[in-house]
Amino acid sequence: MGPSRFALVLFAGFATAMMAQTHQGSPDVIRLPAPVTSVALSATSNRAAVVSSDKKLTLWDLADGRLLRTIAVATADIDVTAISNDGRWIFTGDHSGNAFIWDANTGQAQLQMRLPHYPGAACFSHDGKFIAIAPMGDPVQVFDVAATRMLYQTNAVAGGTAALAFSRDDTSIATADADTAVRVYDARTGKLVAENRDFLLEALALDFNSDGRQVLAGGGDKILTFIDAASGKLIRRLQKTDEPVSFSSLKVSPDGSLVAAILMKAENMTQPAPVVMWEVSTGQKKSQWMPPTPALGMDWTRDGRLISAGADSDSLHIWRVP
Amino acid sequence: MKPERLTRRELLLKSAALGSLTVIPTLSFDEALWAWHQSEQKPRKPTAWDEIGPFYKREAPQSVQLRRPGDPGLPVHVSGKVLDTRGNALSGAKMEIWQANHLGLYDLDGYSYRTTLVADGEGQYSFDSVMPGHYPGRVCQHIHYLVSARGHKPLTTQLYFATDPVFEGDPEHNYTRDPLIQSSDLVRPVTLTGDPSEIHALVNFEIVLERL
Repeated sequence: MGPSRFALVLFAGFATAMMAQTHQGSPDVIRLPAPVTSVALSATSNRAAVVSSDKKLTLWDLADGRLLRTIAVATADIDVTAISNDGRWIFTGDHSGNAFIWDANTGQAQLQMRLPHYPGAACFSHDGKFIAIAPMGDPVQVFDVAATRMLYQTNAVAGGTAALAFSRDDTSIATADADTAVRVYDARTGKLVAENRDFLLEALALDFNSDGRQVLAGGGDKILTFIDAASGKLIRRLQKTDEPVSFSSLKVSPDGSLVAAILMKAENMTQPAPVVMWEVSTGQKKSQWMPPTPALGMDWTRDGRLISAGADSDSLHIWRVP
Repeated sequence: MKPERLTRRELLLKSAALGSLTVIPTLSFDEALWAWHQSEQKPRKPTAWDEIGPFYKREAPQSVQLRRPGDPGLPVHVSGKVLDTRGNALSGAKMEIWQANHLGLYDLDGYSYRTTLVADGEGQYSFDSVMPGHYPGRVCQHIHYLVSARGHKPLTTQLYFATDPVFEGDPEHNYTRDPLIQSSDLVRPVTLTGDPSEIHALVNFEIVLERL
């Protein structure tokens, strides 16, 4: 990796930005005063939410590298960070089970929750009105963000849920569950709609296709699998990959033509693993890119570019994935 | 629990085996029998939950021999009972057990170091394996369990070893060095046995399930 051309440096609260478009050869770099512990990207709003070891949640504008907001959090021991598509809401859940939804406009906590266990996954609905949270080993809880109340929780599944996704119209929620099933629920009621049990190992990431009729899921089986969202039936499987798809790291492009996944090195999750892109219609691999440091998150921009976040000891790197 | 008829010899053997009762020499046999039953019937704390981890694989074959001949690593024999919170044996409880090999690697493509066991009529189970290696990114050596029994809450948990160097000989205080360990109760003593050329480890891990 060559030296970064873009840097944003923080000195005692003063931020200096020098940003340009992310490109393939080197990443945009956001320099942070402390190591990154958790990241969530919203390419739609061009924002990144970053938790660092100095117990700060910072919100960044990826277009120009501006620091938009700093929020003090109680601990840097954050297991899950999520951000709504519009960048308004940020979820943080720590290892003690304390969870917050922060309002990026005010920096205040919109909702504070005490989860039965630390979270394993969290996902906002596309319209940002709801959030689904999977406490580790426990049923998924769905909250109305504006009304600050829980709407329902799903039935208990042994081992809990590893990944969550809303359909684009927010009418369905898919879960990748530890009992190796992929389940689809009615997002309004929490009623189980469909179930797939074709995985031997747990799926760790999933997303709906653009019309919401299929769920694409991958994980320990190392096979990206297409599932009918209404019946749960297997539609097709792609060719086996070298490594599993990593946690909550699978996303279908805005136009639905591509699906991208961050893989994880099964023998050592702390090492970098490839980011892979496939054509949805053919199942053919379109590209594979090896980041220099483990990819911490990714998202599609509105115009169909994939960006990925990585980090080193003092900075966040935003890559455009080739 | 219905009291059972025990001979003096059986009582002494059970007490010694359980380590749960010290028989005072002045205690009468009836008093000792009553005390043993009281000990058996006291509520048991449910085994602590621990996360399932990403590498659970269903349909593991039933086998008590996870260690194949010639497998490298310290041989370990794990045994225990599956009980309810009243101390009743949960005969027929299903246990899915999986672990990394001695190098800390999980078998995702096959079923090495993976098994499905069923607790016997007295709730007992055992298997032979090797001491798992340290999986990169995890602090401690561990063995995963997914245990289910009719009428009881399924439990995912992990077994840890008091001999793990991470604990520096004091797991009671140092178990939090692995942020995934939810209770020091999950860190079990290890007994090394056998002659010097063929040492193996013995570990007891009792599982207590809560009722639904």
